[in-house]
Formats: sequence, C-alpha cells, structure tokens
Amino acid sequence: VTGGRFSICVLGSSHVAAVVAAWRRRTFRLQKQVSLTFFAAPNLSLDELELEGRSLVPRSDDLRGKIAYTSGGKERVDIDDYDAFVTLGLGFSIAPRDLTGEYGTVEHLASGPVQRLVSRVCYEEMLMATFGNRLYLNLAGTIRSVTSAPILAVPKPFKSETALDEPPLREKTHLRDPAFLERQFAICARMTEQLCATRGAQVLWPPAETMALPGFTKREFTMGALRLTRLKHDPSHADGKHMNEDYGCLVLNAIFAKLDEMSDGQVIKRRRRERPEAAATPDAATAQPDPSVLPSPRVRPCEAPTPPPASMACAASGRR
Amino acid sequence: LPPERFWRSGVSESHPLTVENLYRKKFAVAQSDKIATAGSCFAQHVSNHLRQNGFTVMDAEPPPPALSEESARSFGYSIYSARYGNIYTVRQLLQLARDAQSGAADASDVWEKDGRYYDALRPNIEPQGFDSVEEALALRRQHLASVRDMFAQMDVFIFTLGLTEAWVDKRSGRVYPTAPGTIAGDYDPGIHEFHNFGFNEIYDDFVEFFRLVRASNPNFRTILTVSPVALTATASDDHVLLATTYSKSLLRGVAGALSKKFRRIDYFPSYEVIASPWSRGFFYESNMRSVSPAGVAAVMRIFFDQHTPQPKQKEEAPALNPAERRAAKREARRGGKRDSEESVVCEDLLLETFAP
Repeated sequence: VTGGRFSICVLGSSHVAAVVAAWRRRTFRLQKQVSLTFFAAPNLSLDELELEGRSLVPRSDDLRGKIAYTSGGKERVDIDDYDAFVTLGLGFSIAPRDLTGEYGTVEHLASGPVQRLVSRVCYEEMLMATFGNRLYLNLAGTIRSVTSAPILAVPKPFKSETALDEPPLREKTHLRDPAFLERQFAICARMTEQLCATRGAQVLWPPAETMALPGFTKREFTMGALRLTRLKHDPSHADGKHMNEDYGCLVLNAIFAKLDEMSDGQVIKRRRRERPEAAATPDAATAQPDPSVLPSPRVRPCEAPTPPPASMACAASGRR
Repeated sequence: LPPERFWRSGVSESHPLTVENLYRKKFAVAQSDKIATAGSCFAQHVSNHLRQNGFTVMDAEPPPPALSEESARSFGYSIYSARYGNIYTVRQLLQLARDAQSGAADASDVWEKDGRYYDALRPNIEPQGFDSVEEALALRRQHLASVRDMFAQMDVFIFTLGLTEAWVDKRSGRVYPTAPGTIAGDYDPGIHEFHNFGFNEIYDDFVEFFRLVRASNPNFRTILTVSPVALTATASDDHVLLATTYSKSLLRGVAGALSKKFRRIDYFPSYEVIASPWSRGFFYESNMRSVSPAGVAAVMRIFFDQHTPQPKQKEEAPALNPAERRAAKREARRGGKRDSEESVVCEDLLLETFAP
C-alpha cells in the first residue's frame, strides 16, 4: 500500500509507548519492509474516533492533536493507507479480578474461599459481559465494516507479578495456584477470542516469555516502564502496569509474525521478494542477513538497543 | 355504618382507581424497613413497585454486576429478595424455611435433562441448567444460607399466595414448584403425585412457617396477598375455572384467617381490586388471566395510600449493602418498565404448551 512496505496501523493507549520505543530504538530485520504508524492517546480517548467514509476521524481537537503527535502529523486514520491494523489495549485486558473476583464457581472453591458462588454458565456469561462492549472491539468492528485487512487485537500488558505480593491480591489464595490460573486464563482467553472473531479480528497474546504466570507479567519487563508521556529510559521506574522497551520489542516481533501468518506471508515474504531492490538502495550497507536462515521473528528478540534518534529525544521531552 | 360497608356506595358507585378505605394498614411499613418478598409471579410486580418507590427491598443474592438486567433475571437474580424463584404454595415456603434452617441440600432434589442438571425446587434459575449435581447442590447450599440470613434480618415479609395445587414426591413429601417433566425431570407416577392442599393444611403450614422464622426473628411482620392470576391449567378433575375459583377462595380464606388471628400478619386486598366484578375484568389482559400494568398500578396505589413513600432524607437512608444499592439504582433507571406480563418470570406459563 505504501510504496511496497507492509503498512501497519497501530491504534492504542499509553501501552503503545513500549512498542514505539522498541520500534524507534531497536533494529528489526523487517525494518525496511514494514512501516508502522501509531495513533495513540491516553486511556480510552480513541473512543472519539468516528468513521467518516473510509477514515477514522477524531471528534475533538484534543484527540486530533494527540494522534497527530503520535503518528507524525496525521490527523485522521485513512483506512485504505494500511495493510493491517493492530489495536493495543483500548479496553482489552484480563485483569486479576477477571480471574477471581467477588464471584466464583465451584472450581474456584478448590483453590480457596469464594465470596459469592455462581454457576459455571453464569460465570462465563459474566465474563462475556465484562469483556464485551469494549473500545477495541468497537474499533475492530468499525474497521472491519470497511476493509478486509487483517486486524490484530493485543491486550494491554498484564499486571506485574509483584502485584501478587501486595494487597489486595496477596489475600487472593486462588492466584497462588498456577494450575487454577491457567484454567481461568484459558476461559478468559476463549471468551475474548470469540468476541474478537465476531468483529473479524484475531487476538495476539503477550509472548510466553513475558509471562510469569497466566495473567501476570514478569517483573523484569516492568522495570523502566514507558508511557506516552514518559518515553525516556529510566531503568528504576516501574508502575506495575506499563512495560519497558524489551517488552515492546517482543510484542512487536510477535505482531510481525502473527500478521505474516494472517496475511498469507505478506509481511516476511515481501521482504524476500524486495531484497534485490533493497540492496540497490543507499541503505544496502545496513541490510540484514538473509531472512531465510533466520529463526522466526516471534522467538528471536530484536537486536541490541541503538541510541535513540534525535526525534525520540524530542518526543520524550514533550516537544515536537 | 360508613359508606364502604354498603355494596352500593362501597362498590357499585365507587371506582377501583379512586376507592378509599378499601385497605387500612394494620401496621406501618417504613421505607427503611428491610422488606423481603416472595410468592407467585404476581409478587414480582409488588417487589418492583416497592423498589421504584424507594422502599428497602432486600436482595440477599445480588446479581453479579457485570450481567445485564435481562441476563441477571434469566438467572433468577433480583426477581425476589433471594434467588428462590416463584413460590406458589405455602408448603413450598415452609419447606424453604426448613431447608434454610438445616442448610441441607439433597441430590434427590436435582433433576436431569439432556445431560444438564436442574434444582427441582427452583428449576428456572439456571436457564441452561448446572454442569453437575455437585454444582447444583453447592449453589443450593449457598442459596439456603442467604435465605436463612434474609429471614433473620427482614423487618417485613410480603408473601403472595398463588396456588393450592402442587406435585409432591411421595417418598420424601417434597413439594415442587413445577410438574416433573415440564422444565426438567421425568414424571413417574410411582414417585410423584398430585396434591391439592386444603384450607387446614395451608393455614397450618403458614403458622408453622411463621413460628419457625420468629424463632430467629421475633419481630418480623407479614403482609399477605392473594394472586389474582388464574391457573394456567389444573391437574384436578375440575374445569380450570372451577379449579381457579376453588384455589383462590381457599387462599383468600386462609389469608383472612391468618390476619384475623395474628397481630403481625396483615392482608392486602390486591385480589379483590383485580378479580372482583367491581373492576369488570378491566385489569386483566386479553387472556383474562394475566394482570395488566394498569391493574398493578391500581393495586399499588392503594398500597402506597397506606404505606406512603416519603421523600428520602439523609438520616433515614436505609443501610443497604453495595449490591442492594446497585439494585436500587438499577430499579430507579428501569422506572416502570417491568410491569408487563412478558417481564414477569412465570413457570406455570409453560403449561400453555401442553394445551390442546
């Protein structure tokens, strides 16, 4: 769509920051074959995007400013400009309370007390109601109404495993049982995958190597957490919710691999096709090794960090 | 004699929408009183109107907040003060109070259908049934604990007497709200039998219930009503009209006798407002069975004339738990949407499907 590159539109909240940082600071094998455009705004602000023709247009000047800032000047999302769409966060989460809250089933009883028992069927209906009617689903549905391009839904990062040692989760005995967590997570995953399927979207779960337990992220990925307003690297910063550049890197690789699978190999094969052309460009000196001998991007971490470009420093300090 | 003692001035020349002195409360019900409701489907209307008018209707088993109102009701939540579904007979009520006291749940009260399991004593609370007998029993035990707490804490119990006919397990004497084989289970003439409760049985059952609950809650008061909704079908040998008249007459008689006998039992005449010749059938829907929203409103106007809702004052705010507060908010949002017959959960309507 965009000059031969596989063009990906990323719509997200503050959790996009880790991916943005990884994309800007690290080297990816597909860097020259893929273009990424980020439309991000805090929390659920993208709720103000409205379909006009074949574009998602912000309803407020405030949001227009935010997406222009994160996208490099674009004030609207022109659907036809992209080969694929990724939603990141935007209400897609599996929170600890979804795994065991005030209500639980007979199965929960095996791992600890339940405040209010409900049937398995009722519990799943509760979860379905909890996970349905979220912004990411609405956006996916809107996009699907005008394009057949792949849509990938990525949940916001799961809470840090450190939350398990702090109140109120410390008191939840169910969360100490990995087998129980695994079962509950599987139920939540099935629900969200069903919901996404109704909007023509697929789910990409955070890579396994980021997870300490089902529904909880390893602490190491929370150190140096990044937000849209805090892209500057501070290894000691952690809020338990936002993730660092390493996390963004793994997620981004997983996104490429999944989109490649969803788009019948367009992401990676295109690179192979275009390699001779790329070699002829002035960037040939920085070209990557032959991808055919590389392991899957999903399991291969991105390259060592490179110094942040000048544009990054501007973004981090809030200037443009 | 005052005018209401004469048929001409009290009824012929009066109108059910403006009538006065039809009902004089025996005791006051304050908005802060914790009210528990139960009974046949008509009781759902009473419960809804009480909530809408700011009365404190208990919800001992609040719905999970994530569920929509419609979904919650399909799981039997927020229909009554606990998730017991419709209680059509007084024997069923007594049985519930005894079960709540003992906390015991027995697998013989779980019915199977197509690999799913149903609590035979409240078969409509799980639209898809339970996964297993164990799940049904675990949920029943929790239910009974909630009911026990509700009985212990309520200030006022409003019960609508609905039916005299029931299906009984001959072996255990257990009474079921629906005929075996309608929602689940199988009718076995060797096990199940039809029973039409008589005046003394109904009276004695209620007195026993009253005594049982007073043991843990000596000061609770009761308001009895009789459902004006006719039988969908009868298992007796009589014409359904005769069976309905017999059944309602007995229930009305028992309610009257109980209210005459006990200081803490009052009778509220919803039956007379809807079913007497006075209203000329105006308050019935076209099936001459279901009560119209206008009928419910007429009944509740008379109730609220005596138990007047007051504008809420801060210091009088009832001590609701968070779930009850959510229920009250939902009710306020809902307004009067719940008056139609479609919004009332009634198992006996299933019998219509067996009609020729």
